[in-house]
Amino acid sequence: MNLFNINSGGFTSDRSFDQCLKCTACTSQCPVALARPDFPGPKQCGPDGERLRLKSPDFLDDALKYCTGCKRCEVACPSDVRIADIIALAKDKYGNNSFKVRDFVLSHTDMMGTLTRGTAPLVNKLTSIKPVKMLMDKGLGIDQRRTFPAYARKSFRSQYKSVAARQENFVRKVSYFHGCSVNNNEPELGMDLIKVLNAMNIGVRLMKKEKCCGVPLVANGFHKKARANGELNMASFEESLNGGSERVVATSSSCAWMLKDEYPHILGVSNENVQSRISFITRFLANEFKSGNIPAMKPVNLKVAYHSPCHLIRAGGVIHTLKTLWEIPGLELTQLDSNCCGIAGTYGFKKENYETSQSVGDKLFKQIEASGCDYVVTDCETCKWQVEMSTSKKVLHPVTLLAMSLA
Amino acid sequence: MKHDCLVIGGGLAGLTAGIRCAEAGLKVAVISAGECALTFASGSLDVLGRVPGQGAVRRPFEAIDTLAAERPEHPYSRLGGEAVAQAMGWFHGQMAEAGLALGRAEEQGENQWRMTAAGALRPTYYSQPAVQPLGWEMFQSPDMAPKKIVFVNITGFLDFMPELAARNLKQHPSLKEATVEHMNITLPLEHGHGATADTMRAPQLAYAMGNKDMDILSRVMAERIQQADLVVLPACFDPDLGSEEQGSTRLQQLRMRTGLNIIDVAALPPSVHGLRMHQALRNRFRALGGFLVPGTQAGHGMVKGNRVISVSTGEDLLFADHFILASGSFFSRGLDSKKHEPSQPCEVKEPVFGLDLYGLPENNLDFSSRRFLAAEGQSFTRCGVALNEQGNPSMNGLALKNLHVAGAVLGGYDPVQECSGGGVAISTGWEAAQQVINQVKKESAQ
Ligand code: SF4
Ligand code: SF4
Repeated sequence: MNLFNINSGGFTSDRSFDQCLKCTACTSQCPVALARPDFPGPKQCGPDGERLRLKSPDFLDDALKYCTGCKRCEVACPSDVRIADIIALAKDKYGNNSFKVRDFVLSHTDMMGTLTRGTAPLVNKLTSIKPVKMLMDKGLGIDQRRTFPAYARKSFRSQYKSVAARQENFVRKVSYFHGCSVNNNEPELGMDLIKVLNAMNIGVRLMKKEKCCGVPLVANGFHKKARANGELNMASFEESLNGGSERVVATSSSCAWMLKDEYPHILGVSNENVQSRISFITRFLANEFKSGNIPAMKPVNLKVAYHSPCHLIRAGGVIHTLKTLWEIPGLELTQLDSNCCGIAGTYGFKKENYETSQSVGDKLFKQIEASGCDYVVTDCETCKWQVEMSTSKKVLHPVTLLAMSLA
Repeated sequence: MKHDCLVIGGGLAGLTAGIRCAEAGLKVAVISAGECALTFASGSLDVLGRVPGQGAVRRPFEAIDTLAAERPEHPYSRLGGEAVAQAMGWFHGQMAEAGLALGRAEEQGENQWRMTAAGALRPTYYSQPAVQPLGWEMFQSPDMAPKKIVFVNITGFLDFMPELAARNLKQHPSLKEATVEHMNITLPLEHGHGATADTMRAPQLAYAMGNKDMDILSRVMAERIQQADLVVLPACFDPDLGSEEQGSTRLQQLRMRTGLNIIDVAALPPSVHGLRMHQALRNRFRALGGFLVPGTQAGHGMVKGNRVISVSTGEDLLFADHFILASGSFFSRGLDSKKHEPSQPCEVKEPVFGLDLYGLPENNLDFSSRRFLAAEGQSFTRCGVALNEQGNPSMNGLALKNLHVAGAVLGGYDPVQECSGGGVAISTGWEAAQQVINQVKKESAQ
């Protein structure tokens, strides 16, 4: 039981605001409050605001919508106030949840993937041509300056079929939560993971069924749908863990954080039966490496700059990715200063947020250009889209880099 | 892969230690949880500003040697004035490499003054780059002191109180005859998206101001302030590193355009000066090949015999050959206090290892004074980890060989009363790293 969760009228509320010492550390680290000072910042929107909102919803500040949910405020807070959660829950409870087609389209990532399947080349073409972008901009409010991630011609799940049978030959097996982006946009990352884990004598299975983890749904106010997805996912996880998989691993840092750490208090979905066996992939890899299970590798001879995604920082997972990267021979690794890239999932796609999104990311982009690296490495798919759109560098997932180094 | 050295804590002490280790070529990672105290700091670095019973200190390194004789438990006592001076000099060089040129008094080894947002003068050693040093002699007698001082605020900004500051400053013995004025200047806040200064903290205000605001500010100041010896503004001008080199910080420009002697002082937190120093420390550490791991709370340390083996974080264990504990004081959770019974003294613990402490409370009345700024200081600030002669901490009397301790988690000193927080953090961080470097050298020679 979480002492700080109270449940009233079907909404969860987070009482951790009582721990706030009013030190303002959170505000000093909020990228949005610095980029647009009309956003009052985490202290005001979170603990301070919640106190008032409990009295009357009239105290709701419209500016809450500018919060990206990056959770940098929570990382900064020395008193464990779950500031971003308080804001997210307040948006759900008091926000103006009138239906927006745009938000629906952006957040229903798995459905959009399925709908575009077979028409991927056409959709990619369409979303990249000017008149269509303008139409999306004017009609839907999706900013026309943004590059859309391309949809893959063949989904990861169908590509997986060619290697499925082989996976059962391994004594050790893990189940892979691929998420929407690998399935629809980057099946290569999923295939790279299979290569890497197979080289470590571990088979990779898929869940019979998985649904979007819910991150984009929550961000866009579709909590009910997210809850339903969560229930389904947890049932699937239990089934695969009972069916011989050691663990469930995910290659997206935000999906992993949601599944492992956020389901209970954001969605009220219990994950207690499986929680300890969900791992973000680099945590799994770092532990395997530590116990001596390291695949045969050849030097990659590359200079890379590592960008840590906000949600991985919040999850305390940066050390695992560093440990994983340290094992790759011939890798010259530098760490970029921890700055938000500004995309925050679907946030940066929205017309009203485009400027904020790019100005938040500006520090990071400049650092990347100055770094002289061959590639940027990061664990999050939306960070990848944002960095590739906003800098001259290509971005690799740590798993892709490992796959490149396999002997 | 094992680290040579794992530093627990990403504040001034931890990053200083990390930089020193990385500079010596060690593989070092710094883990941190929560923003460090630099967020609330003035951005000036004190070494030793006051010795209780003796008042303000002019030559801090000489005073350290006197202090050592009387107060063997003080972290400075083990180091001595010369080592502290060496550490400070080294630190100055590291910050210069990171693009932060710290200013000191003209006379080598001497303190200067810094002004607080409340209009008090405190002795300090290094000041932020854009600040004109306020020399020691300046406030020693009315003849030397400025005759006219003007405090200027941006209208509406609540974290700087020029009226209060002006009133307080007037109390200073050498400023009794001086004219101390205050004024507000209203700015449109070009990048403020329509928000007003009263809703902003200093860093937000810094980003909200644009060239238009700077034009207005310099024009109005030039028009309205005549013949002031010193003009004091809140620190909300240069939030980012790197503009200093080109001599083009906003503050420098304001000086040039108005011809006035302007300083900016840290307002209520978050402090723009402190954040900028934190940025410089992180940049330097990364540039030397160190790795920073934020969002990672140290749980429990595992000890075998007289060595630390690992530290837990969440579900994981972090292994290293050497550990440096720089986890800060009560606020940063480097020390933990619990009160069970109102009549009993509270229980104080160092939560990661359960290290032996100095200055444990015998009763509650001794541990804290009801007067927040009590003249004799608060004794809980002197409570912290105790070190043995060799500089090692201990657990139930057993010294730990590969654990070193730096910064505010140490006991035996009062950073607030002595104005010594910065110097202790830097010199003990520097020293802890040196101990690690010596041990690594010794081990690899064997
Ligand atoms: S989650 Fe990010 S954007 Fe939202 S208040 Fe916290 S730091 Fe700011
Ligand atoms: S950092 Fe935490 S304790 Fe400090 S003001 Fe923000 S929420 Fe409150």
